Amino acid sequence: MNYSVDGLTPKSIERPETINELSDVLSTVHSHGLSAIPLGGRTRIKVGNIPSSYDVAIDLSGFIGKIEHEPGDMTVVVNAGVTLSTLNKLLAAEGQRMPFEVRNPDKATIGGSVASNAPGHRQSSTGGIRDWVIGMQTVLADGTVTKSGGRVVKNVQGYEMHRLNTGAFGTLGIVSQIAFKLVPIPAEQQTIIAWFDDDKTAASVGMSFVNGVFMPEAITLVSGPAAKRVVTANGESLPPDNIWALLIRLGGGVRSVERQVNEVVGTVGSQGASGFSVLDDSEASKTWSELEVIHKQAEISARLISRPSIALTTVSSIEKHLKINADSDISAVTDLGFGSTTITANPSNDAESLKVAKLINNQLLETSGSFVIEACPLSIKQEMDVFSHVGNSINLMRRIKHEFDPNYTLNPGRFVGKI
Amino acid sequence: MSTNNSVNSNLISDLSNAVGEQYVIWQAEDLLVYEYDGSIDKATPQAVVLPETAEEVSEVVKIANKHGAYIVARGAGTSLSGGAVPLRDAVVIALTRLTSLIEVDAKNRIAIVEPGMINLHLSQRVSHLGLFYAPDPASQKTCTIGGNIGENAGGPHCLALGVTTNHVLGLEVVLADGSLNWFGGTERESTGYDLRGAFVGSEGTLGIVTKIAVRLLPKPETIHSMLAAFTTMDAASNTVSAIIAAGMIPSALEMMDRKTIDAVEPFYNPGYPAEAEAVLIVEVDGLYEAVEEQTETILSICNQNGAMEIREADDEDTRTKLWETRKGAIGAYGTIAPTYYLVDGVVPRTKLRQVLQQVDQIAAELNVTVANVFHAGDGNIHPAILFNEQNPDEVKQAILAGSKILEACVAAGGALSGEHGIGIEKQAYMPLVFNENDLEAMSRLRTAFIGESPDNEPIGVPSLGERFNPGKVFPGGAIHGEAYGITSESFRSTGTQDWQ
Repeated sequence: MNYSVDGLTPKSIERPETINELSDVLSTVHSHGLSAIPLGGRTRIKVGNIPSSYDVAIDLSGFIGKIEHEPGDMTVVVNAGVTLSTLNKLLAAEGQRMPFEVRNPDKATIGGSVASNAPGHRQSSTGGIRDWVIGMQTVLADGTVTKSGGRVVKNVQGYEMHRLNTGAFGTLGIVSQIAFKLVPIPAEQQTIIAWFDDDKTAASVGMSFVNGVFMPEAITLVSGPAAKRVVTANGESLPPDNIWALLIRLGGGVRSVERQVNEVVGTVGSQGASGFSVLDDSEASKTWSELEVIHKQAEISARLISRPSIALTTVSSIEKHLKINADSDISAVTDLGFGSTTITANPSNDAESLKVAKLINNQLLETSGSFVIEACPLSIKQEMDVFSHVGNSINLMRRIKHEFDPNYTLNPGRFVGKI
Repeated sequence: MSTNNSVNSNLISDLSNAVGEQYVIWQAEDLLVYEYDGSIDKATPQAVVLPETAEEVSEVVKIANKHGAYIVARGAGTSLSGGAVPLRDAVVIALTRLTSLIEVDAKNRIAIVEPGMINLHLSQRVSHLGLFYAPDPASQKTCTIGGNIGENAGGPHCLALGVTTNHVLGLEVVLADGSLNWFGGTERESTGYDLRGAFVGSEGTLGIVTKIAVRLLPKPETIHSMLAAFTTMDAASNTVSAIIAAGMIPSALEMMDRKTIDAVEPFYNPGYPAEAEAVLIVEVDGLYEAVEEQTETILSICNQNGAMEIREADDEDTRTKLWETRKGAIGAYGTIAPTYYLVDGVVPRTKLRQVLQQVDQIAAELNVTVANVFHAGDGNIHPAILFNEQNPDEVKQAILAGSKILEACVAAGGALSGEHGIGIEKQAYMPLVFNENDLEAMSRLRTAFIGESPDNEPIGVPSLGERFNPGKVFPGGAIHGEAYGITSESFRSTGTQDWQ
């Protein structure tokens, strides 16, 4: 197992399996003035600033315990170390699933996904992870076990610490157990993949579904070399090089999906798609997996979250700049319903890498919205904050960190503003 | 109940200079309307200020700081947990003049509004664009979006669409030092700690919201509402479970009991069957095909569970008629008793039957009248305890019944509140759900927002730690029903229940 984070290795590794063990580990780390980084499946370990210190790795992949699924209540309470795949397999037996997806679900743990607010393909319809978290147990830096929220689908009791801890990268406490709302697995699911030879048409067709009479489960626009890869993932005969691919995933009752498929096919056909395919759920999984591979392989990866229309103009502006100024393949995967776009690049050498990363960062700094450079060479990380600026609210964020972890025990230096 | 013994003329004069004399209220008789909200608790503020802009709000906060006054933000005052009741001689900042719709971005389905905008007005203002704002508290014709932020308000249609926090993108907030800060933005996510998520539902204790960016949703292609009458509450509850088990999340799933039917009959003359013990309203929306498929399943489930009568509505007028009794139920309780105490508790859906039976038992034991109208789909019950506030014994029994009902909800694995918040009403019950460590962690968040109370704080200056909406949320801040002679001994704290 590789516990290194941005080139740093821990002096010791702890693998707590129970809440008491986890609490004891943190209490010891804290009392010795050490620092600790919690890890799950390590699928998003690249995301974040370089740690300012790293003494102890707390490996939560064995923090599994019992999964408490209440099908009639459509809720589940699960420990941080359970993977998304494991959980979804269990839920599927009752016709339910986690509302959100994450990349690499066989490895990604629930705790890591929640702590890092992991993105996934279905965000057009499901939004972010935090909207599905109804309660949480966290272990504070000194080992104190705390909880907030509850186990019922609707609860307003006290401050929503579980929202604060979602996406806090474990800097306020280690997320140990989470209660979620669930959703039913739709009776029918289909994906339509359409490709276009110009970006404007692809984008306007995509946006028409964002504001249409039904909300697809996913509305994803892919540009650059990635577009060709997702189109050919299902054995489509080779499309031309410069294409934009639009992936629309639909879900619902049988008749409802039939109507949605007809509408999508009608629109892409009449709006000048170069080609399209309607894929059933298992065929489509190849396409969606290919997108995951693209994200995983990217040497440079940046995720922008903005108003959907701004995401589109930003992508095209970055692509233009890079085409003129750098020698690199650039792809962008834009979730139109959610308004997020992940720009990926695989520059040919280190010098190009530096240039491309800086170009992307500079372009994103000019865009309204927020971003995270999710992957980039270490030399670039050393020079900047991988998270976008948060304005004057950084002062409050620092005060919050100070209240919960004044000694900077947890994940020091890795969060926004190097918190 | 605190009284307005003395008027701080320097404070009044500073406030008048900041917002204009006509927008500062301080005469005892004028303050009366700001003493209470939708709950049964009351307290008198020392002054009420009606600023017009975020900058004026900021200025008022600084003036209150200077004079050592507590601050309570207020919208329409519809809170059901005492959220807007001004304890500790507070200055009330009423946000009812900040009502602008600042921006609508139809393409990206975003609106930015001021906190005093009435909830329903936003949906009305964006209706021509085919959009609406989803959270729909029963008080949506009067309650403000700022107040909804404070309480993380819900509503009948939150079953499928989520509560207020799921629809808020960003907030402009005046913090304790008077500074204006943006939490979140106009995007679905933002980097850093989720300050907007921490702020929504914090019941006005962390700051004052002055601008709100929300998500709007496209109106569904079609809506179909069904109303089914059952001879027992059990049959109606079983229907709810079967609908969920069939893999559907209807847009609303609401239930009324016999006492509620009795209350609404004289008002709306719906003519429900005389033997009906429960009425269920189920609404589905979306594409025609989806609605058709779901309607077929729901009707068949209703019939399997012995529905005596089923009514359906697929146009606006019929639907309004069908919902009339549900929406007017609480007002109609006036025919049974002069006052109601609307309890808000949540239970796991699968425990609805069990807890409703317990509610009946509690009512019988304590000899109080309880009517039920509630969000069955998400297990959010609203037993209305009907009483006469002129009779102190009835008040005591009502509050005792409320506490027993909440204990039953928590014991069944539920929550103290689904949408009304903790406020004054439920703070004594917080230890039923949370232990000292949990509450201490929450208070750390408040300290981060407000600042710690210094040890050498001069006497008479309010604790900095409770600058905003003092005495709310946390146990020990106030006594529910104090205005009716309830004492702290009336409450029993039954210890903590571990989450594990």
